[in-house]
This record gives sequence, C-alpha cells and structure tokens, in this order.
Amino acid sequence: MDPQPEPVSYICGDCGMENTLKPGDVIQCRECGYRILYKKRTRRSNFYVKGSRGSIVGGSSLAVWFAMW
Amino acid sequence: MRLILLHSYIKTLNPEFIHSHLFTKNSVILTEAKQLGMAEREETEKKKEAESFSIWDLPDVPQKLPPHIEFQRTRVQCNLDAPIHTENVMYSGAYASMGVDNSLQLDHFCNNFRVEVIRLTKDDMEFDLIGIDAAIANAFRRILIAELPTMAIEKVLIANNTSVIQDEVLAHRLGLIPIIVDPRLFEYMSENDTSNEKNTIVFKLHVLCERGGPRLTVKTNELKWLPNGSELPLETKPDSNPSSKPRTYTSFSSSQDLLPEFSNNPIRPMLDITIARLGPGQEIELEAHAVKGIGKTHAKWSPVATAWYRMLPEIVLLEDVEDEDAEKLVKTCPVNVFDIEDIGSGKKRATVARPRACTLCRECLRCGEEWEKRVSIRRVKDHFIFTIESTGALSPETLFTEAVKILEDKCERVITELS
Repeated sequence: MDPQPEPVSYICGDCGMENTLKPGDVIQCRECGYRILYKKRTRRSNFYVKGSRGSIVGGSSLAVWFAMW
Repeated sequence: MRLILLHSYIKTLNPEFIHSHLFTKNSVILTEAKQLGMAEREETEKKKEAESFSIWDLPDVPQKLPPHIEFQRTRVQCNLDAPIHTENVMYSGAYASMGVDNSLQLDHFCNNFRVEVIRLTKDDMEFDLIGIDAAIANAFRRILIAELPTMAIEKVLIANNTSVIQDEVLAHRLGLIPIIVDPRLFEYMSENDTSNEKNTIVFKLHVLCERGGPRLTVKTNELKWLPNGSELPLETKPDSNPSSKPRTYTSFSSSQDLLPEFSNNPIRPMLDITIARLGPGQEIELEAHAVKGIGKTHAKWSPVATAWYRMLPEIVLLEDVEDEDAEKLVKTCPVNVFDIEDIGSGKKRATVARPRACTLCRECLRCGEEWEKRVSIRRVKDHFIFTIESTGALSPETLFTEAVKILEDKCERVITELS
C-alpha cells in the first residue's frame, strides 16, 4: 500500500500563519479561520534565470533573477 | 577647398615666408625713407621692425572680427521667439575672407582654458568650464552618465519571498540601489567568469515581519555584506566528497574584508532606501550579487544621479532703465537677476546683479514691445556651468577626473588607429 503521506505546511493567505495539513483536513487556518492557504516556496526548485536577455536556463536550485529591465 | 586654405594657412606660419614678408616690407620702408631724405633713420627703423615684429601687426592681417560677427561667433542671442546664432563655427577657414584665422590653436586653448569650482559637497558639485567647445563638454557629460563603471546588484537569488512585491520587481528594485564602494578595486565579470572576490560583492537580506505586529518597512540597512561570498549551497552530485566544504554560488578564494581597503571601511549599500514593506507573517530571504558595469548597459550602473551643463547667461541692458521701469523690471524677474541702484537726486537705475541665476524664462522681454529693445539675454557659447550629482560610490570630483581619463584613453585609441 501507499506509505503514509507526509504532512505538508501551508501559509495562511491572511495572517501568514504556518498550517500543517494532512489529506482530508479542512482547508482552513487554525489561527484566523481564513480559507485560502498557500503552498510554501520550495528551497530546491528549478533554476530560473530571467532578465532583459529573456533567457531561461535550467539548472540546480533557487530562483535567480537578473536585476535588470 | 578646405585643404587649399589649410595649406595656405600653414604657409603663413612658415618661418621662411614670414622672413620674406618682413624683407619686402623693410625694403618698401627703405625706398620711402630715401625719397624723404631721412637715410640716417634707416638703421633704427630696421632694428625696431625686427625686434617688435609680429605677423599680426601687418595691416593685411586683421586680428579681430568685426564686433557683430564676433558676437555671433561667441554668443547665443535669446530672443523672445527663439534663440539665434546657436551654431558653433568650427571650420578653420570660416572667416578667411575677412583675413581672420578660425583654426583651433593648442597654445591658445592652453592659455585660455579655465576650470572654476563653484560648489563642492560630498555628493554634489558645480563648476565652470571656460574656453571649451560644446562638443567636449558634452562628451564629458555623456561619459559621466554612460561610461563610468560602478558596482550594482545584477543577480538576485531568492530563497523565499512571501511579500506582496513580486520576485522580478524586487530584483529590479535591488538593482537600482547604489553600492558605496570604489569600483576601481574590482574587475569586470565576463560571461565565462566565475564569481570570485575580485568581481563580485555579495549581500544577504533576510527579514521577517512578526505575526501580530505592525507592518515592517524593509530598508537597505537590512542588506548585510557577506565578505566570504555566497552562503547558499549549490546542489552537488551525490558522489562528491562529503567532507569538503559545500560549493556555493560564488567561489571566493579569500575573504574581502581582509583587503586593507575594506577592513575598516565595510562595503554597504546607500542607506535608508525602502526595498519593500512587509505585512505580518511575510518574509523575504534572498542573496544579491553585485558586479561591475557601466551605464550604457543599464542605468543602474550610472555613477551620477544627474550630470548636466548650461551655458553662462549674459544679460545686458541696452539702454538705461530708470525709476518705474526699473521697479517693474526687478519685479518681473522670478529669480531676482536685477537690482536697483541709486544714482543720486532721487533717481534709480536697474542693474544686472545676478546673471548666473537667470533661467532664460524671458519674462523680462514679455513686459511689452519696447522691452525687447532694452534687455538683451545671451548665453556665452564657450562657458559651461557643469553640475555633477554623484549617487555616492565616488565623489563628484573623482568622477570628473575619471571621465577625463576615459576621454583621454579614447583619443589615444584613435591616434593609434590612425598611426
């Protein structure tokens, strides 16, 4: 069978509180009751390079933005 | 045509030519003297001529242009409708028909060129460049804006950003922050270079607005300089040696704060600039990498906030403006160019007291038709009031000397290309 799914942290769209939800939980902030929760930004995402040159380079991790427009 | 004129001009400068001219002139004097029976004065005449001779003393070479042409050459006349005589006469033979040489003389430039500093503060400067062509003054202005290097944030590595300001907007805002550091201590980073301590400055920003607290304004004071380079680890392959230091986004071989220039003068951004505002629970965590660049690539590398010049205003009262007219004139000028002086017996006369303050609004010419005949507003074509406002990396006077060096380098490049 499937292993027990890891609980995932979400951030409340209103108060910024971190909420840990398991599948089947009510989607609601425990602190303020707000019903919009955002997934946390991952620390290992696609290397994303964007700037005036408009090139997008695949790489290892983090978002790298060229401070240029 | 130009070549012929140039050639003939060079001929006039030829010492042999001058000598032959002198000789013929003397012989004319000699014959006249003989005819008048004053032979005894011959020798003294000859000596005097030889001693005080200058080619400019010869009657067929007038030294000066007629006043109205000289006026057109050196002044811009600001009429009510439009300025006139705005062009610069560059051509060496422009006044050849009047026997006046208009070619550029190096010694004439050297003797007449002046720089006068009017105001100098930490990041602001005003000075006069006198006796220089508009093209060169403009070259300095353009170099100051677009070709002097500074350091500016170029790459932003965002680990977390839950604020309302988007990653790309945040990165752009960071890029525009002036970095207070001498760019001459750094090297340019080309496309294939890796970031090292000689070409990159790394800053860290990690701010969190407490939940339940007030909103937080993130200022540039929060940017912390990392003299050892990036702290964000690169993802390495699993087979790499686990005991070695984790590789980061930069490869510094030594710490920047060990350098004598930075040890007691840490690199910092311009303080008190707002980067973002955070609501409760919002967080920004990022690393910013600054590199060397020039304003031509992007304005964020421009070392000046403004670099501009204007020609010196010259205001002349063509006729005496007295009593009520004088009061009226003083009142119309919004920048107080004019003053009133007492000329005795209860009479008052307008004077031009502060011509530098004139903004050429021409309000004084708008008083009525007769005023256009009374007041003349001009600008001196070879006198530039130059203003430099630095963003903080280098002092304004250093910026100007650096600009001069760049123009010098360009000239040298042209000379080597031609030779």
